[in-house]
Amino acid sequence: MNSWRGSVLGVLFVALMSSILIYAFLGYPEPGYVRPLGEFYLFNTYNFENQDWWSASPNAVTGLLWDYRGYDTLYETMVFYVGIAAVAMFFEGHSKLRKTGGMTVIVRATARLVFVFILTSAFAITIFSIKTPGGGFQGGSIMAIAYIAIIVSLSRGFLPEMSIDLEKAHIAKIVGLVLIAGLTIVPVLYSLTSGSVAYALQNQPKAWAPFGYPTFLGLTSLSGGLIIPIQLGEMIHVGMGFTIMFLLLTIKEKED
Amino acid sequence: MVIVTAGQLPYILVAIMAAICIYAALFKSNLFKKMLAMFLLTDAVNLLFIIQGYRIGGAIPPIIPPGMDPSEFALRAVDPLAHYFVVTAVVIGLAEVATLTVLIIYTYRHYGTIETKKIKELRG
Repeated sequence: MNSWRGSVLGVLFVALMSSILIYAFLGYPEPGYVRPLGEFYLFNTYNFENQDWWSASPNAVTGLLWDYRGYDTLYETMVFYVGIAAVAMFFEGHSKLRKTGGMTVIVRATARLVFVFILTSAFAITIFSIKTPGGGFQGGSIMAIAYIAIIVSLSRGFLPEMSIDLEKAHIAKIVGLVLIAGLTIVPVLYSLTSGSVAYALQNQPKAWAPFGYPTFLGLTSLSGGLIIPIQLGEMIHVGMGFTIMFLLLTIKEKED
Repeated sequence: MVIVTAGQLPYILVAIMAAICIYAALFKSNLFKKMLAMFLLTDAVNLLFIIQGYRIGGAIPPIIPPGMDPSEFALRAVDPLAHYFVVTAVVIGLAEVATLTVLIIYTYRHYGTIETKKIKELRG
């Protein structure tokens, strides 16, 4: 009887809440029209004729992530760092990875082969993120999948044989963060030493702030300035963060 | 009387999804289900962003094709800001899930259950 009454109350709650939310959402304009702020980013992200406001990235989302709204992404990366640090703190002391048998020989051999392919695609998705969909976070997630495939098929203890253990993964994660932080403050250091105007996380030169990372590698290969190296930092940070998280969360209670 | 146009129908889907998630997050006693509901609630909000950023009629992804004029691109591409917010929200959501998962594991190890009702009974 109680569960029947609970179900009816649940349905009523969902119906009431849905009605309130539908009423609120219908106040929004009908979707289909991009707001002026969005149009500003679309118009300027790869506009050679207006280089004071461009990000040198044909992918407007990547341009937004590490140029127009770089601070948001920087703080979001720090939130991710704190999240992984919290996980690591709870599992403090579990630094040794025990080696077990893993899966069958076929699975283990395939996993080793696939590992290389997955890692390559992670780098490709990160490096080409200025021209194609993707980025540091997506590349990092894929990188973590490569390690997770190894953990699942060959056991956690196999990672030290690949020169990866929890301590090294933590160090790599911090190196990624340091790379991002370093590239962020380079323009500020330039400003302090040269006396000219430059902003933290500045990607491309402006008429009033001449500092800028190179737009092209060689003559024609687009580099996106600051964006690719900072995306690589993000990839390492996120990839190692997920690997650490997965390693710690798969530790069984008996191993404590 | 409220008139709903065809373009606003996705809002109804998001509202129902969000309402179910709010119900589960508030009234389910299993901590894991609560966490799952909160994560799906984030996805409902992400879906709202994507719907808002969509452009009806010949929309292209927010990556400028070679040779296209920026002014034409600005008139045809979907809103990059919506995509940007979703990427940011996903990263923060994952950090949140990681922390909550660990807290749930520790709750289970301490109390032997993740049912809030049983935990209340244990505390007397």
